[in-house]
Amino acid sequence: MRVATALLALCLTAAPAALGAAQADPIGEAEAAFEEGRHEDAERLYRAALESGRLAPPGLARVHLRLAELAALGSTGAADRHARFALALDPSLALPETLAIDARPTRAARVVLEISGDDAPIGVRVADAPDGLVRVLEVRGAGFERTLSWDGEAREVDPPAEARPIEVRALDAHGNLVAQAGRAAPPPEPEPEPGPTPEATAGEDTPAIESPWFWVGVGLVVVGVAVAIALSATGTRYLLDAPGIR
Amino acid sequence: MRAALLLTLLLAGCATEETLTVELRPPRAADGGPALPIEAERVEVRLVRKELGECPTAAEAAASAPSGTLAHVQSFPIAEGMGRAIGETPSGRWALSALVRDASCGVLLYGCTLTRLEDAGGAIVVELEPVSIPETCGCRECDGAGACGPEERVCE
Repeated sequence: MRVATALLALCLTAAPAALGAAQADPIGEAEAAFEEGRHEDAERLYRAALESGRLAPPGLARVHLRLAELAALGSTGAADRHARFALALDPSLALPETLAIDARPTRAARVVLEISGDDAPIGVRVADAPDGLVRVLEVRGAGFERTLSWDGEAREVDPPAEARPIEVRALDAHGNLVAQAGRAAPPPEPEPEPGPTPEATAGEDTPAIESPWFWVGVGLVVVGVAVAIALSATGTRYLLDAPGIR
Repeated sequence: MRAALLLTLLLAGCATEETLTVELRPPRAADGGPALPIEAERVEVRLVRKELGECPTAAEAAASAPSGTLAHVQSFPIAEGMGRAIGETPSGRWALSALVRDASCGVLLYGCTLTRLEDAGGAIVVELEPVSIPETCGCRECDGAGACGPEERVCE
């Protein structure tokens, strides 16, 4: 236990102090600033969240809606453009009166795949997205990856049969996820090893909760979740400094 | 349960942070210092996710043509010598390009470096070379002082 405590202290000392800040919710901070009427702070935080490239609907729709509201209040930016982006991401969003737009979309922006055969090229297009919302299409399959620019015209990809099925993600200019379709094949699962089964040791009449295998499974799940959570916070984060002429 | 909690705390505490400097290196003058064209007004820096492919050409970068996923772009006056921090960037392969523009947004110097952040070794260096590209901002507008706006717009 002493060793574990010492390791914990060592790791926490070496860890960046910014760990908490990095995990802060940027939209939450922006929302708080907006609610408190600190509009300049709110706009800066919303733009930072947008430029982070880590948003996806519905958060991305929320950010565009707020930027539209701020623009309508006299801030920089195009209120109409942000409002159209917000509605394209989430047509159910309620717009304030200051943001009335002519045509409200009925369907959200989405990626459409047109697959005619196992070996035929796959048509890829984005439907119901206003101009400028989607900039890039990322196509991924098993060992296959393509990045296509999106200019409003349907594109085709021709992944080899072993790379199918594919997943296509539509991204905006900052890399935020607008929509996705398809699904890349999961990695092959290892063959299960032969061994005693829970049924073999637990009597047929024994409730599952009384079986030792049940609790072994619960324990494995708990440890697995703990490791997954922990690993998501480990590794190296890269901070790019200000570019300077040297 | 205790072991799982302890393991979580141990691993979570072991996250590390690496700061990478970004150096833009123009041609050298006789005294070894940076030799910038007298017409140079601003530097535009563009960071693009590039898991595949090569750096954009000077013309592509100047016109903000689609090339990978644009993650960050900024422009700062030559006179200031330094821009603002780019900030936290996910690991992976990136193209960092820089354009030195004159007041009419013509490109005088250009450089681009493809780097995988895990292998960057503390610094990303972009060597700038003379080019001659007349006024171009793509679909963006030149403000007459060497900046194309809106900065983040990608031109189809």
